[in-house]
Amino acid sequence: MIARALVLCMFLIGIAGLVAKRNLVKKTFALAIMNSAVVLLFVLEGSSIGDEAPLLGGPGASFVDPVPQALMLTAIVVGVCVSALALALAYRLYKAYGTLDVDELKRLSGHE
Amino acid sequence: MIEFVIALACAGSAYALLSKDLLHGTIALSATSVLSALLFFMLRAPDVAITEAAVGAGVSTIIFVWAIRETDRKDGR
Amino acid sequence: MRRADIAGTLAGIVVAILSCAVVAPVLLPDVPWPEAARDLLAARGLGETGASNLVSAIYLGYRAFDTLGETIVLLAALAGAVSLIGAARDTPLHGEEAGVAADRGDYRGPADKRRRLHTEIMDSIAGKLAPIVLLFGAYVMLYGHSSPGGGFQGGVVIASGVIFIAIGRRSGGIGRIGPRLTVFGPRALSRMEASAFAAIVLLSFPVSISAFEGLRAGASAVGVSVPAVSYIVALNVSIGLKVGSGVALMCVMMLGGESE
Repeated sequence: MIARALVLCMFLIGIAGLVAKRNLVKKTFALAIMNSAVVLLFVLEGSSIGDEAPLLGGPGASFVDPVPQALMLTAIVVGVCVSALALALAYRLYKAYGTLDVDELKRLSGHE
Repeated sequence: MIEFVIALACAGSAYALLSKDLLHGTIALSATSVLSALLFFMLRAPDVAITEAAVGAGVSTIIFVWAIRETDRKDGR
Repeated sequence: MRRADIAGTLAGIVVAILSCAVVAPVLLPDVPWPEAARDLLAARGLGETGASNLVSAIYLGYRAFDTLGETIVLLAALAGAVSLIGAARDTPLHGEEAGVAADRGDYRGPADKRRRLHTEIMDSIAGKLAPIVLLFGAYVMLYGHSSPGGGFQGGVVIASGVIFIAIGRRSGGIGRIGPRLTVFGPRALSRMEASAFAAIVLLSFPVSISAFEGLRAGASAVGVSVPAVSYIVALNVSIGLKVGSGVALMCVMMLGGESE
């Protein structure tokens, strides 16, 4: 219960940072933090039904649930893809406009 | 023990978002990834731990440091 | 600027409270996690896929199409990032003409940056640690079916080894196999990524699975025993090579490696 509350707190830090910060790199930090929090939540929940790693050949037979772990492998890879593409876009915007601040970018590109 | 490590990861991620120097924020994010990998090992998930350590503390930190190097290093405020 | 800061922080707090109101009733109560999936996999995982690492049995055996989709997402994202970085290198900096950029006194081109990366520590350590890292990546990739590891993990470690080589070598160093081709340069890496991705797509079709079963039956009739887990090993190796060369290509392009 406390572990889940702390993971929720980490997710809320991520989403508050995504909205509140104006620098594009800080927003990418926030996306990575939200990804980490969700992955942590699933593995935490799946580990509550056993106490051995899901590798056959061990002594006992009460494994941890392997399904959330398999799903979270995909989630981590997709998270790093999002970070890489976001940073490539930020680099391109910096080359074109000279700043990474979203308010400045809105003003410079004429969308205000 | 698990709650303590999650609290440390929360503190690391909060520092990453609040720091004025983006390089300090990147190192804090890398520390959060390493703490997450430790947490996955403690929760009996070795595959996820290897993936998070290799991806979070390796490739993700490399691309963040590259992005900071090519653009501003300060937050601007 | 201060007013915008305060408005941003207030907006962040409001969004956090709203998200908490939505997510917390799902998250915080104590609901028991169902055990049916774990029991079924522990009883039948080894027999049906041949892998004793149950997580690998799931994402390479029972749900291999999910892994194919993830490989496609990785390919699309890395191709997009590489093309954005390449296009951004060619555009002039903000507020300048196209031809003026190279004449400025403080133009920081790729060759300049690479010279600054070459300190003594980088030269003596990075290039020499690279073969050990590549060996460890190959081990993690090949033993994914029976111990923690697999294609993605081994691929990312191999990419780290290739980045070591790219940082720690002088021009024309390790891996040169021709006057215009290096094993760890952008062209060779992109070709390796494309062929490994083609191998993954070919291995995922049901046609190839039945062909593999026919091959196993034919081999056992001759007397050579091919275990069922070799399908998972083949998938691991192709995924590892694809992920490793893709991530290494993006990082080599980031470090300014256009000159072969």
